Amino acid sequence: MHNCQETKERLPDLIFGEMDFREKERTLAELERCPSCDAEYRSLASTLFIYDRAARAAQPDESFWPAHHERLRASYGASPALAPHVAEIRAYAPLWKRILTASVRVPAPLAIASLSLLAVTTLLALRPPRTTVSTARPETRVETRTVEVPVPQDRVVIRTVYVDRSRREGRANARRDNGQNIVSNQTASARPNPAENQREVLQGFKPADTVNLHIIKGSFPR
Amino acid sequence: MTDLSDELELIRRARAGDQEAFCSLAKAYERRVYLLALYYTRNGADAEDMAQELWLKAFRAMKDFRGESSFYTWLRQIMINSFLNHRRGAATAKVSSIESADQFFASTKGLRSFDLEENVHRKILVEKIFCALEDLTPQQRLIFLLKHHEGMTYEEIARSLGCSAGAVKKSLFRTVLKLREHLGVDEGRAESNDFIPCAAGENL
Ligand SMILES: [Zn+2]
Repeated sequence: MHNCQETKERLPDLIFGEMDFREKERTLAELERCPSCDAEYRSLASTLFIYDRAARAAQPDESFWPAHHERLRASYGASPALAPHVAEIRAYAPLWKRILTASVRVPAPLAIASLSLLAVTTLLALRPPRTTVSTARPETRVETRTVEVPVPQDRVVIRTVYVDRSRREGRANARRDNGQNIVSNQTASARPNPAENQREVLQGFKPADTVNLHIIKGSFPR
Repeated sequence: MTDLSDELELIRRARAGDQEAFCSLAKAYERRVYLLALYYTRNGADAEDMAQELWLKAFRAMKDFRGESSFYTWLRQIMINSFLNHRRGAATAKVSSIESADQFFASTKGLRSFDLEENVHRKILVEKIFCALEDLTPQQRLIFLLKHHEGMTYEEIARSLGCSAGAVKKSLFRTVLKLREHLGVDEGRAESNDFIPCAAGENL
């Protein structure tokens, strides 16, 4: 029993070649018996026929294709594809070689940042160290010892007082007699002979304007 | 490329990075790919861009081709993915890429040296077919091209697009009805819009 609705639902399968031979024969037989279904089928088939004609009309001229091919060829050359030898290694080399020749695509900013970081790190590593040798050679220890050193200072003396030291001179002579080495200063040697035991007269004496005194501070051994 | 052993040799060399071998391999399919891109985009410049992008993808992915299917089957899946991505991009941009027949023939050097009447007739036909294709959704258009131009089965198309065979059939039927309307084909006595030949609830 022919059912127009069912037959028309099968028409796309017929026009798009999705029917097997027996189903196709059965459907075509039904179309012969039903003008409505047959008209629908012819209409759909005509549509595809006209479409094909229009599609062919839209195809470019033969002169288009060589230029198209050359444009594609140029694009392969500009493409960062694998170099032949690298691809050969990838395809047939053992795992360790493939690992060694492996590459990873990274964005340019990330690559620049990584290279900059690597360069700075290398520079810092190659720079000579500022620290003492002790860090490099821990077996040499520095021993700290405190030594008292006399610090001479020059001072300007604006007033000098001379005193009679005859009594002291007497004691000094006694020490000389005991065999002690006494270093007498210039002032003492310039004095008048104590044997005369006279009072020294400072009239007419003219001292120097300045005298350098070496004052030794601290715990210098006496 | 008629000799299968020649193609296998070209594939082997292309996988090893031989650019010339890939060029020779591609040459056999360049027209087919470009024309599909042309019918899909309805625009000569877009078709050129799309074809170039597809071939570059294939060139870069060649080392991954394992020969589990034919070279063209592998290439076609890359093409389908490119078309779907292009569709998403175009949907985001919301820019119609259709061009007039004059622009189209200028960009593709499509007009051969026929007489004036023939050329006028061709222009009308091309404008009609582009308008018809424009009226389809990108997925309807892709399904129609895969079926009518590529000869894929409902099942193959469904697998490639991740939908059901019933949805493919329904989409094709709607496409033919739209084409019929745009191309001005007489519907005859049939009231073709009264039936939809696939499972209910599926919509493309
Ligand atoms: Zn009927």
